[in-house]
Amino acid sequence: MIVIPGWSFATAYTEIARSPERIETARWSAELPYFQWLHRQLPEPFFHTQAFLLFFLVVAVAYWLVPRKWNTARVWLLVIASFHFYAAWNASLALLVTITTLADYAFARMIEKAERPRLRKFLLFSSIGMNLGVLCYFKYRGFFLNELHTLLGHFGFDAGYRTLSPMDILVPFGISFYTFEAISYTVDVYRRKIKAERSLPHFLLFILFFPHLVAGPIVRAGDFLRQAHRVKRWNWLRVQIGLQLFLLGVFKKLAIADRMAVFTDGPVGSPGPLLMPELHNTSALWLALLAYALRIYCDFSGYSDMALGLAHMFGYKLTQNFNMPYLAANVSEFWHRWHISLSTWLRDYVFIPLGGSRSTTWFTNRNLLITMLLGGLWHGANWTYVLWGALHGMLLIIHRQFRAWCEDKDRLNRCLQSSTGTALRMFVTFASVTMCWVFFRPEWDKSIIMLQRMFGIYDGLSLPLHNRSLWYTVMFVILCHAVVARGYWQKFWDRAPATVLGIGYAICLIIALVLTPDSSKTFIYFTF
Amino acid sequence: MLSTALIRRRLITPSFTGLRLNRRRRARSSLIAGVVIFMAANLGLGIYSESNLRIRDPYYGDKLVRLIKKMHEPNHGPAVVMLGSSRAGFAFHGYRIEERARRVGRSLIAFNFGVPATGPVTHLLYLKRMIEDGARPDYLLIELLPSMFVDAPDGPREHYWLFADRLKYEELTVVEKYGFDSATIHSRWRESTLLPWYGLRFQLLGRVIQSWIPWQLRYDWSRGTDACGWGTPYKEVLTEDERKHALTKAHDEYYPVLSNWMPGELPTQALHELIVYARSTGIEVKLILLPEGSRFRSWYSPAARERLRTFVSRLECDVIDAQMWLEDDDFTDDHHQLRRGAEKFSDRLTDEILVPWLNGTR
Repeated sequence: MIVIPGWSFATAYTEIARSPERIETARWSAELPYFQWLHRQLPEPFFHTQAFLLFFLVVAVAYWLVPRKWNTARVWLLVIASFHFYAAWNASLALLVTITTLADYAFARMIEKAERPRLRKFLLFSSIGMNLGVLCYFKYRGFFLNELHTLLGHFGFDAGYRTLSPMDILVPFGISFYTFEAISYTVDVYRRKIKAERSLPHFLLFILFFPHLVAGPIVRAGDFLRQAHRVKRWNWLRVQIGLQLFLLGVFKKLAIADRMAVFTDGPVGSPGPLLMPELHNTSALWLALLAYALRIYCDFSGYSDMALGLAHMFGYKLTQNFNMPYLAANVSEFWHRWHISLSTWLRDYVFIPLGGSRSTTWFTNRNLLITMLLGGLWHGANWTYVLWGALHGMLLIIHRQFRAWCEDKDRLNRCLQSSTGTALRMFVTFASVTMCWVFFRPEWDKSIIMLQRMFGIYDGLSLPLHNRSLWYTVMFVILCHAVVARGYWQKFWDRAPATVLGIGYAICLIIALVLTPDSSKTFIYFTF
Repeated sequence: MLSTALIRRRLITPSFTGLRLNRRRRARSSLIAGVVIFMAANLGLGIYSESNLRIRDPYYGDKLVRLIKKMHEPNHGPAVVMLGSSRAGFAFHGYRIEERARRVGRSLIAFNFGVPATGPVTHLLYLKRMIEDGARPDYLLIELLPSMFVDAPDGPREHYWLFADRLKYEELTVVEKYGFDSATIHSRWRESTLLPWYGLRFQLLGRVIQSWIPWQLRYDWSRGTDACGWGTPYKEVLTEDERKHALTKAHDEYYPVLSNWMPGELPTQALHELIVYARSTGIEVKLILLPEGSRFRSWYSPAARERLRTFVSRLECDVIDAQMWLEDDDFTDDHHQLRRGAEKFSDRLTDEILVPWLNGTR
């Protein structure tokens, strides 16, 4: 039994929290020299860094230099590169991901070969159990153990262990993403929707492919493996689309998401409204929440765009993950546009197996709520994320009930479908989703303080930056949405001369570089 | 014959294939165009910024423009320039000094070249630049900011604020000589020259849309000064709370440095070179310890104060000790002056130092 007095643990925790780089240094000193060298070359698994771009360039050149007829060699090359990409961040965890992938490969082959239903089911649950076990160990261990510790403490029992701090737990990047990919694969093989992959390198690439490894999109085996087997030819059009998507992602990340982070988290050394809501005034908190809505969208969709772009440049088309979600006119539509790969996964592997909407209203609503609760928990091991999921579940239920209520009210329906009605519905959806973002963070008390202060009149610090740049950014994003939604962008892209497009690319990149804040933030979804 | 073949081929080939080929060609051209334009834009700005310091170092460039404009005014007298930090920027009230000197029959140009977070290395570079740019002062008043003479563990304290993106290539050797980390300054300078839209982004944004960057990253301080370079204080009067807050901030920043103050070798050498260089170009030089409030002065330990006294006495230059010239209410945070502080300080400086100096009686 480990017994540590509260004060000494607090001191140790504070010290550790202040020196994460010391922990990193200690961890790396235990790794093999080769991986230490690799880490120095590629210290962060972020796509918009110079080190990554160099890594990508080397891999891309080598990939396209391999003759077409050696497709398997190309696949191996991408597998090795992907392993190195992950190992540069954490060599031991890269090994863990590879081992679980190998196990999934074997499980799927065995499921396919097995004749007896019981054995097939046993193998399926073994595979799911292994994947969820690894996920729970790394991501949910601290949450469950700490909650158990608190619960036992309430009843006057000593849990016999100390609570875990965030610094005690190293969550592998992208664990939630590749676990879901692996689970969907074995389930699909079990359901005989797809055949088990025979080629080991192709299967390894399905899980390890570096553009989608750390933050999705969650790809489906049937879709990806078909592409992996197809021989790829160099195609300028694909490269153009890839670079364009990558550029779009870079712009969203650097020029919008990281800039909005200054409004929410504040500049270096001075915490912003979301980090210290107790210090800020009411209007600053409302505006910071608006900035956060923009930030999280541009951060995650920017990452997805970069991932899609990079994959395109190797001849792969990944699942589209976002489709202008803030233009959704209701919450259900929002989930058809936001993190599409996760929402479709939850639909296919949780909601439908639970019964979907085939049964009574009560059961449908129950299924919706369970699915969204799990969706919330998927994002983070904390009650705030569970509440966030529950709120979305409630919104979906309310929308469903409202739609049913409206069915026989023609006049109301016409009003809602009119342009004013649609704009109003879009606004209500955006406002609801944005309010839910208050809980999209691990600190429960900060969320409550923020809500309290938002709905009162409180004095305090104002926004860390003049709000003019926030409003300009909001207007810019609305304008871009309008241009794309009305089809003007597609028309322009189809007809514009090459030079005009080239100038557009250069200007886009230059603006992104000029608007980059002092310190780039990590991708929010990397932590999920 | 050839045209017929071409027409036939066009007719035979499905339009879809032709369209696809066209699109691929267009894709290649657009990518090449994008890369070329991006590189040209960076090269252009890189070259331009190396020759134009209003882009690379707006702190300097904007003040220089004002100084040259002042020097070109008709019927002026000798130019008295004050080099210093933000303290000097808020203290040396050029208009008032000119006016007061004129009243006693002395015509002069008084220009405030105070720039935030600068010390002897920056002042040396600025003086060299001024002379190179044809704005040679006749009299030079240099602020002695004690905190800037302390060595940090990784070089002189100035390197926390003077980044290589503000420097021209030939200036890198100067800062290297005074202990700036060679690898860091070269890589930052390279970045600001090869990828200037990124490396000089705060300078550029500060020129166009200042409100888009946090004040800690703004380089446009010199644009807000008056024609004599004086940085007009943001407030005339401070509430008790504001003063308390400002004082706490100053305490956190300066107390650790001043309580154990010890002059570093490299900043002292830089100051020495600055004095020698100024004199070699025929500029008369005086050093000045600017006013500080009583609480600020109390942060020096007795030993530190003694060391400061010894340090000042060993400098081979006339040093004006103005540390006790003002009352506590004349400051925002016990070392940056309010308007009334700047006025009192400038009046006394004119009467007791500048006029006698220019008349050759001091």
